[in-house]
Amino acid sequence: MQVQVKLYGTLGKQVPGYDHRQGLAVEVAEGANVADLMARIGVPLKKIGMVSLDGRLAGREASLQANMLVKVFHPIFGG
Amino acid sequence: MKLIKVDLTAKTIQTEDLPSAYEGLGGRALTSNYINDHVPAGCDPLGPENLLIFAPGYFSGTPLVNTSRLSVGAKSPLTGGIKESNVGGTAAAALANLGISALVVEGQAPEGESWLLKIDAQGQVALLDGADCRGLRTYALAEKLLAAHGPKNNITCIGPAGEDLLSAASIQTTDLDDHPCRAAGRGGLGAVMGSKGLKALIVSRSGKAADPLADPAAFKAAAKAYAQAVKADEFSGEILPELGSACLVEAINEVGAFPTRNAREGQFEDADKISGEAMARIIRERGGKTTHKGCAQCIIDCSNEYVDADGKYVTSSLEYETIWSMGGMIGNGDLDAIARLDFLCDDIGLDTISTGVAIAVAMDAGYKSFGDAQAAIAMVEEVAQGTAFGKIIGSGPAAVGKHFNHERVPVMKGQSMAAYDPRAIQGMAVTYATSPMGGDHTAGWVVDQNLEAFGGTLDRFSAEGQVEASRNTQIHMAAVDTVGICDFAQSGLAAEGGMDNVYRMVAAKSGQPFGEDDWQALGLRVLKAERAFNRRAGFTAADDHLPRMFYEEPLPPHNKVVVISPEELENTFDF
Amino acid sequence: MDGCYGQVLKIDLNTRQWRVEEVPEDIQQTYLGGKGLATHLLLENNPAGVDPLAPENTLIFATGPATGSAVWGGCRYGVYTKSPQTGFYAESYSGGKVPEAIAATGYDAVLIQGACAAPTVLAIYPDRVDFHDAGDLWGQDTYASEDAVLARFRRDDAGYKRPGAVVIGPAAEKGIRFALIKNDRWRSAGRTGVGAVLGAKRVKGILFQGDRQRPLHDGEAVRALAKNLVKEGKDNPGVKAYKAMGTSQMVKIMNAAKAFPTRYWSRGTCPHWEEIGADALHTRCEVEPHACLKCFMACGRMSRVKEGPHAGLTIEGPEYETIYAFGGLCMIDSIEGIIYLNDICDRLGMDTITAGNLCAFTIEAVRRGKVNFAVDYGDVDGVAALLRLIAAREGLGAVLAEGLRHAAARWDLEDIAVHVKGMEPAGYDPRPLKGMGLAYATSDRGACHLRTTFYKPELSGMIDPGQVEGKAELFIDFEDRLTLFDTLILCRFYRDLYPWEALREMLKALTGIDEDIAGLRQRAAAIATLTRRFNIREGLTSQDDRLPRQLHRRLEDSEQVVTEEEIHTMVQDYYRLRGWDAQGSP
Repeated sequence: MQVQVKLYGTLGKQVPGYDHRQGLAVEVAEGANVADLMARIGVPLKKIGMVSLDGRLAGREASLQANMLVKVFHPIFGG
Repeated sequence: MKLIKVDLTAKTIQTEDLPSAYEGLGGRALTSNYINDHVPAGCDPLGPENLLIFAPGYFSGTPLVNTSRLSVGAKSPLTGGIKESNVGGTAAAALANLGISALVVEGQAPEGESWLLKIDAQGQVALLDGADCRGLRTYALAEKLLAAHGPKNNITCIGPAGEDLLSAASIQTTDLDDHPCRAAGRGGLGAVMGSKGLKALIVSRSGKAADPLADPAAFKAAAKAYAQAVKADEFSGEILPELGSACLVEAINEVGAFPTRNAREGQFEDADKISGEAMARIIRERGGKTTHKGCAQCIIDCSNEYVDADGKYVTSSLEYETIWSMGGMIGNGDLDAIARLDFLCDDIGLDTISTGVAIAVAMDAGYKSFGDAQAAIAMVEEVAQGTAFGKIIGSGPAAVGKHFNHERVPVMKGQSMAAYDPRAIQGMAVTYATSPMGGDHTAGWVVDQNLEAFGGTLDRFSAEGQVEASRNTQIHMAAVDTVGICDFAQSGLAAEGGMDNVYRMVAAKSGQPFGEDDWQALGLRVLKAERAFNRRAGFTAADDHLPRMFYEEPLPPHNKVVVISPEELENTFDF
Repeated sequence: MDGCYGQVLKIDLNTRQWRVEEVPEDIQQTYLGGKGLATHLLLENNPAGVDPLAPENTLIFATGPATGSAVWGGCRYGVYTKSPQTGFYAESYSGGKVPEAIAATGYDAVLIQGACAAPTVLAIYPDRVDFHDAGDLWGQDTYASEDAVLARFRRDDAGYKRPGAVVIGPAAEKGIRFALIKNDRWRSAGRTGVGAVLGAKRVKGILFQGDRQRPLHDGEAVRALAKNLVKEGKDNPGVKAYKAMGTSQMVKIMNAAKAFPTRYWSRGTCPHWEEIGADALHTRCEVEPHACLKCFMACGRMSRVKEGPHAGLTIEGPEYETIYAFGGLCMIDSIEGIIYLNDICDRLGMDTITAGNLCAFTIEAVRRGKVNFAVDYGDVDGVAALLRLIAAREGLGAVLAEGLRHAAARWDLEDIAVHVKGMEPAGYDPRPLKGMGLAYATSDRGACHLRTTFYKPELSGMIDPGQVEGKAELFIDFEDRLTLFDTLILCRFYRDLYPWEALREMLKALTGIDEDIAGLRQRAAAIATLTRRFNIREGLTSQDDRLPRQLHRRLEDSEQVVTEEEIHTMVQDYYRLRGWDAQGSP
């Protein structure tokens, strides 16, 4: 199945050729979770902060569904 | 460690040593304690009894990075309570390098007079007639004063809004490029400066009389370790330089806490058009600047220079809060218009948060449609023109609500909240409601503690633990604002051994032992002085409440309301 | 007596002292509360011939046996004093939420005497009265003042109910003779200048808060009556109409009756009535019904202007009377413009009926070359400017601030000035509605529509509006029943739901007084006579019970007229039925 991925902050630099306007279309296995996806595109888990699946925050173990929009955020600090 | 008193009534200037009662204090601790000690709490904020104090942070002028933070204090015409408004740029470093701990402006010049206060490289202080500066907007004013007095000066000034005594008026100060784009925005302190008849400070940036350090070697060692931590941190070392604080737009929007259309919704459908990522791309394409150094001694470079399609300068340091207040909050997804509004506010001397929210309230009332950026620009221009409606906009969201009899006004103690909706991040409800400053995000930013992904342990939709988290953060931030460390350099505090570095530097500057308990005590001393002042000014427990809308209107997409009761809010502080 | 606390609070502003006085049982039994008790107290406490703006004039706040109970329409309070506008008896009533707070302080009436040396806010609780300096509130508009008073002086004592505040605006501070007392933002004790009296006493506002509940004779019966009334009342067509359209429904009705006062009392129909009536209000503004406490009628309109220069402005209103005063008399031809003018009056604290009358009168004065000012019929901005001048007592405003009688004399326009006893009529032209002529001529407070609301029987077919002979009889029936309304204190708009028999039951349940209808009529008549005595003591003669000349001229559109003889006939009938002599003396 395929999911759409958007990388925020400077996370895009982890993926050569990443264009933020396009995002990434990534093929993952059925039942894959967020951590699997990060491994697939080569973004270290320690680099990421918040992840949302179709607009709802999700943990790293959360399962992906086909055609989901996955947004991956950097850590943030205040104000 | 000099205290300079300038009396605009008598036109006298007096320089003395900082009284011993304020020794070891800087920034917010100095302004708030001094105001609590010397300003009659019941006074008219725009009358001669109010004082306006400029105090660099305790670390300003030291070798530590990211410490050009200036506290400006007074009784606020916006909240009626005490106010500390914090700003970067070059002012704090300039004052500290002249050995000035505090500059106190007293009295009131007769109406119609306009004065400039000049402090030269030798620390000589003079009042100069500023009649020819009257009515000038800040960019023209800074240019004129720097041409007349030489380039190596900081200009800290007000625009037409401050001269018109409007309660959303800011005090603007110049950055390293001499643009007056840095704002002590909150609380209407520009109006206090205007009420004194003081148009600008001209402070030499060539001072060489910074306070001596008791143990320079120890200070430098700790400062170096601190700077390394700031650089090594991904957020302050990589993301902020690239995107600035605008990197928060998409993140907070995704959380559903990005107040949209006067906080009717928590997500803005055009967030991707005004995000940090979008802004960085636009700036790059047009030849503007990201990774831009705005403040003296900064190693983060979170500032930027936004340019138009022809590559011409529009504004500098376009930040998250402004992108929110002039963007999502008014339903505007046009980043060029946001940049224009940011420039206009800086130029006219207006707080971008209060002004954006004022426009949002007007739009919510039905005066104009949400998303009408041209109408927003026209409203801000009206402030400069001094029209009747412009004066209302320039007086902040509560005044606009009163004008229209519109109840949906997201203010606490008369000051608008910032870009985190407390319904989606409950901890911010406590900070907004109970900060002595009124609705203020920097007073106790607990967003990270409310989000698991950022290491938070609190449920952002639950009341549990929120009061304690906000209380502790408010105490901590009162101390941070006292030593004068930039919010974004807090990565240096969060790093392993970071706080110890800070304690070591305080001790190395003062020559007195300093530890964790002293840090707590410092923060508490600030908050106690502020709350004592507010109580004498007439504040009661009810002033630590939130407007009804936050309890009654569920915020999409999570459709939650604030669940922290007024009683819990009242019990945040036991003093 | 049940239904009463049996005590009144007397506040002496001169000395900042207060004391509680018992109300003797026989006085309670005779006067009940509200208007009855207050009129008695006023006669007892006010020196004859007192200058209304002098410290010696007494101002009384009163609630009645119904206030704070379950009785529908019972959330009202009354203010009583000698009027600076008429020089005679003043009474004015207001609703909202504050009446319950007043009642919770545990007094049947609060008498305010003397004057403060400096601006003051009073805070009245069951156990004490606080006097707070209010210098910083002096000059503030009514909304800001109310917010400040409520925020500053509320107490958190256990059992204390929500506080309420009444305030005055800048107009009252400057002694504008038709300045009002405001509460709950948009609710007003609007007529007769009661705000000016408070202003002269330098009382900027009063906070009421407490935990008291008046003893009711049979609380269960009161609740049962209330329960039944909702069942019967909620489908009543009058109730539905008030809920759907508020008082703005009257624009269409009055225009159709050719009795909608237009172009300063020269016409009875208005060419632009459709632009200012209920339909215009409800389509051009976002409107939500808004109710006082203890009301299922919700005649109030929370109205938000959708478009134009005043887009975004929200008020509760405009009421029919404001629409007539600005839309009819001043010919303002948009509901938005009327809302804007209403808001100005509300903030400054001026009665909209009198303000609209004065502005229209000034327009006539300008047109006749008597004065010079840039204002004309239909000119919203000109009228707005005039209102602000009045409240500031600047220019022409200084003359108008003294009221119509004074301005008419100054400008030599007494021939066209429309008032009775110094007070201007409401939005019911007495030429087509002759009973309203009798109401305006004889009401204790000048040209008042509310003492009898006689437009109601005249428009609803109960009696021919043109009838003169025999009119006074039904008129007195209405006046007596509504006098009891003002004594218990009940909202006028429940008049169809509380006929005599219902009032009888209610009085019994509230107070234990079990009396037949004839007895109730006698009580009401006694209060009317008591009020009359007050006015005669202040110099009233039958010469004051007349209509102004302008109202005896034919309406230009319908040519209808009411003659002096017709009014004279009705007034004489009225005196006789009241048991007074031909001079109107009891």
